[in-house]
Amino acid sequence: MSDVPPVAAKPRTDALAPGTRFYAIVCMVSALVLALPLMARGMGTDALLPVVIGVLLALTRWRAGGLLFLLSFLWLVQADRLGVSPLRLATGLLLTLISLFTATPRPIGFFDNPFPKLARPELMLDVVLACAVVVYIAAYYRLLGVTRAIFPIDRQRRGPSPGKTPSGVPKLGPVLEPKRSPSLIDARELGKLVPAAIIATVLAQYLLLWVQRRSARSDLAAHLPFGLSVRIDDRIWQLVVLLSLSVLGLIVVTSVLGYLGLRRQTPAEAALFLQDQLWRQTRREQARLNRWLAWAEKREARRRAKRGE
Amino acid sequence: MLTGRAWWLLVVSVLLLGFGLALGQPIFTLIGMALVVWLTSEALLFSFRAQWVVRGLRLYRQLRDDRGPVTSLWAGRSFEVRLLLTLDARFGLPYIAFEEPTPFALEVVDGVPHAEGPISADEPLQVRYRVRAARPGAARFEGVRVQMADLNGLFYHVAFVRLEAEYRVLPPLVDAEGKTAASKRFNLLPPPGIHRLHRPGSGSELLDLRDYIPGDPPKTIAWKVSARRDRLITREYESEVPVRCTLFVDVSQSVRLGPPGSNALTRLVEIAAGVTQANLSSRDLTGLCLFDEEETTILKPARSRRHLVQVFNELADAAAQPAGAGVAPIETHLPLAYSFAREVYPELLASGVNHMPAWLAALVPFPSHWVKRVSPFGFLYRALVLPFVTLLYLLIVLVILQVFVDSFALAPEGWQVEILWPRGLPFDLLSDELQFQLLFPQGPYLIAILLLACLVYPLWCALWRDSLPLLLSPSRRRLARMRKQMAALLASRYDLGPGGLELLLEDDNHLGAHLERFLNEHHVPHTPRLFDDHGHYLFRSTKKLERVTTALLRAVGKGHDNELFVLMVDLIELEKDLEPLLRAVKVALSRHHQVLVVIPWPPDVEFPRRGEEEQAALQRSSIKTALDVKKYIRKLTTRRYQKAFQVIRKTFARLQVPVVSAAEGDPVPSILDRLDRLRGQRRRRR
Repeated sequence: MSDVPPVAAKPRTDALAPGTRFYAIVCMVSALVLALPLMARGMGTDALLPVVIGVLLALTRWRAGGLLFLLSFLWLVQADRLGVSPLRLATGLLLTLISLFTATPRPIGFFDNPFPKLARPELMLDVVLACAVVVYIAAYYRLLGVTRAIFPIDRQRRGPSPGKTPSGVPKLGPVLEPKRSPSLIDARELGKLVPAAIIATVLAQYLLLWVQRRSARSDLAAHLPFGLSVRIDDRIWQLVVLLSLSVLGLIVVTSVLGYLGLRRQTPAEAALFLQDQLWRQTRREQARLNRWLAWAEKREARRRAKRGE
Repeated sequence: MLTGRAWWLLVVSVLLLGFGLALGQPIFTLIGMALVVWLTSEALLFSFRAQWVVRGLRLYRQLRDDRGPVTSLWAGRSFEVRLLLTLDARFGLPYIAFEEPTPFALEVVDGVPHAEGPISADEPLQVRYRVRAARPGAARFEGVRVQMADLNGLFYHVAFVRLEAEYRVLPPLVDAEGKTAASKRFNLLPPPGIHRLHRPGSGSELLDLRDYIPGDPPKTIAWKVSARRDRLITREYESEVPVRCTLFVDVSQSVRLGPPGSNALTRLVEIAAGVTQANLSSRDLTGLCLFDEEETTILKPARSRRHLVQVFNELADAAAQPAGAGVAPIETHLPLAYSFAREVYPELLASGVNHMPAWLAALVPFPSHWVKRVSPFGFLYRALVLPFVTLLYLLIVLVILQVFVDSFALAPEGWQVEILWPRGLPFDLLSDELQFQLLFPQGPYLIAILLLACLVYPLWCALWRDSLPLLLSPSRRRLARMRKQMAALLASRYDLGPGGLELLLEDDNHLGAHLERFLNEHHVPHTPRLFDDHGHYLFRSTKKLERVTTALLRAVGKGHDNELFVLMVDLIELEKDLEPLLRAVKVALSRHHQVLVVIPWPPDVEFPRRGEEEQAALQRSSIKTALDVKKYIRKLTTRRYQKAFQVIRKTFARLQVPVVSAAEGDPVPSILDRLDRLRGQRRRRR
């Protein structure tokens, strides 16, 4: 064995540890970056909604923070569609809810905005926005991995019992949250994360552009009999195409990975797999035989007990 | 492989993508698509690492003390464990955490058996921690559990890098008085040529001066001392003939009951080790005989260092043996074995190789109702439900017949049959005036429907009898899944053949036996079953009495003069079957040997103090039915043990054989005292 120095005994796990600060700052910066394309679209101060939410979540580190951040975009887009600010939308909905439970008259509703700012596609702005969102989500989850848990929490793994109940039964210890040590965080991780986000966004954009060019009429024209036309909404058809591609890709990938997994099994795993397959195919017959055997053994045991052996 | 976090992110991303496409919102669409593409790429990368790279992990372990690597441990001392985890692959892993499950016989006294971080071919992970074994036995290391995740916590994989190793934990070292040695290591054996032998003999060292007895050689007369005392005084010299002692240690199932390290066998092992070491320091010979129900292991008396090591190894192996009745309670052992297997064999419980269909666990009970013993509640349930479901079934069949007839139009006239539904019966669900008119279908249709109804009826009953309790009970379904997965693992591990899995599913006895075997092989502490279905105590065995009797007679036959035989045997349940052993003891006594009996005592049973036995007998009648059943049973057990001990003591007292309990003070000085008396007896005989 080589004489390698041991791993650090007790790394800092508090909120101000350098590793924790690193990803919190990355979250805040990416939240600020995504405000730029929104402002460039003319959203004005409304663009600060996801920024504020993103910064607050980076400080509070809620487990559902990533999803809340994505939902804030939903809020922003909906407000834009209705031509109001997000705050005004929230106020209006609140008043509507109150009016449903009280006798107060309903407030004036909202009307569709004929010129939504976020409905028109802007290639570069959208790419920057999406890239910043991906970086934020990834950094946020890495932050959670350091401050909350990086592995799924197993409720059977607990810390030392704090004591016993009055009846003498040991109390359950606290559930262990397996965190990643902040001392392991390296700034070079960001150097891998940002290019990955950019590549994913660009690929997504290319894929979307291809999908958005699909239409049922042109795609199915070569496959339908002469004279038969298909009227499917383009959006529906694009969804169908996307879904089909996803399923097909999933099948291929799963099959390949599954086959590679089978090739890499150990002898014990392979034997168990074959045994399991045999059992699933012949379960009923085996159950019938073994039930008789077990019943006969029990009967014999009862007889022996009666005889006093 | 996907964590909950990943699933939520995937769902929200797909929803964003879907809504974006449907509503024509480019921002939603691109964000959703970007997240999906990013997730997919991360998933592919993680799958590659989990399938390929993780297989390249290698573990190296070394146990060390102050002087270097060791192959055995000593009870009461701490040792350092060094683990090195390397990766034999071209690619690295960005983050893993590995942890070694501490063997049950050891406790961690310093450090933690856990490390985390990135790992690659150039960057292994290492951890050091210190462990200590409190009692002799064996410590089994299984390997390390490796948890792997991506840096985002979206994907997760568990593997176990196996490196099984078993280390003996030898009994602690003691001094010549049988007391545990200090941390400094003393020389237990005197230097060659110097003996502390207190027996008179023909050696050259002066032992004692005594009065002259006619017949003493004149050369042994001490003239100067005789002149001073005005009578003849003879010199006595030390003997070079050592005293032999043979220890008969009971290692049967009854002494193994209890947590490893805290049972009666551990105490016996410690006593035997102490006596052996103390004897060796006096250059006396000590032999060892380990016996149980099946076999006997004999080490002839010797006094070399190598013999000491052999004795220690045998005692440590004996102390490591777990108790096993051959039948184990499934309710406790199955969850225990499953939890252990989940830690140590996660790859064999993965759904890809060991799958339990969810519908099977919800519909089909294991074992089936043919072989499973029905509880009183189950019997009541069946007694109430089955008649009800039978009537319900009849009603359904009648309704089906009615619907069938309606759909096939009316039968020709002359074939109609009216059935008047009697009034007043509790099954008259409709109004009193309403009557059922059933038109029986003609010939083959009737037969077909009735036949089908008869065939389906058992399934209907099975659904209510077996499946409904499963559907309503998540714990039962969980147990069913555990049972199937453990049965598969055990059938594969112990090569039970193609039908082994189903055999273990249907037969509780076979499953219990294999579960116990699995737990014992891995040194997992568990509570064995004490009584069988008919209330017989499973750990009572007369076979070991035959073995110890045979071994004692053999030792007497091969023995020399004035030997000490120490019988460390559990006779508590056998006080009425001692006759063969008593005869063997009489033979030994008739050859002028000495016999001492040490009764092992369970640590959690109170030992009666002297003078209290009679009080305990008097108080027998004062025990009333206690509200706390546990306390009452404990009192009964304690009373039983104490009474049996008194009976055994009285029985052997008739032969003037002392009986001591392993819990009564320290038996080691008693045994050493006996040896000293033997040395004195030789002197008096001369």
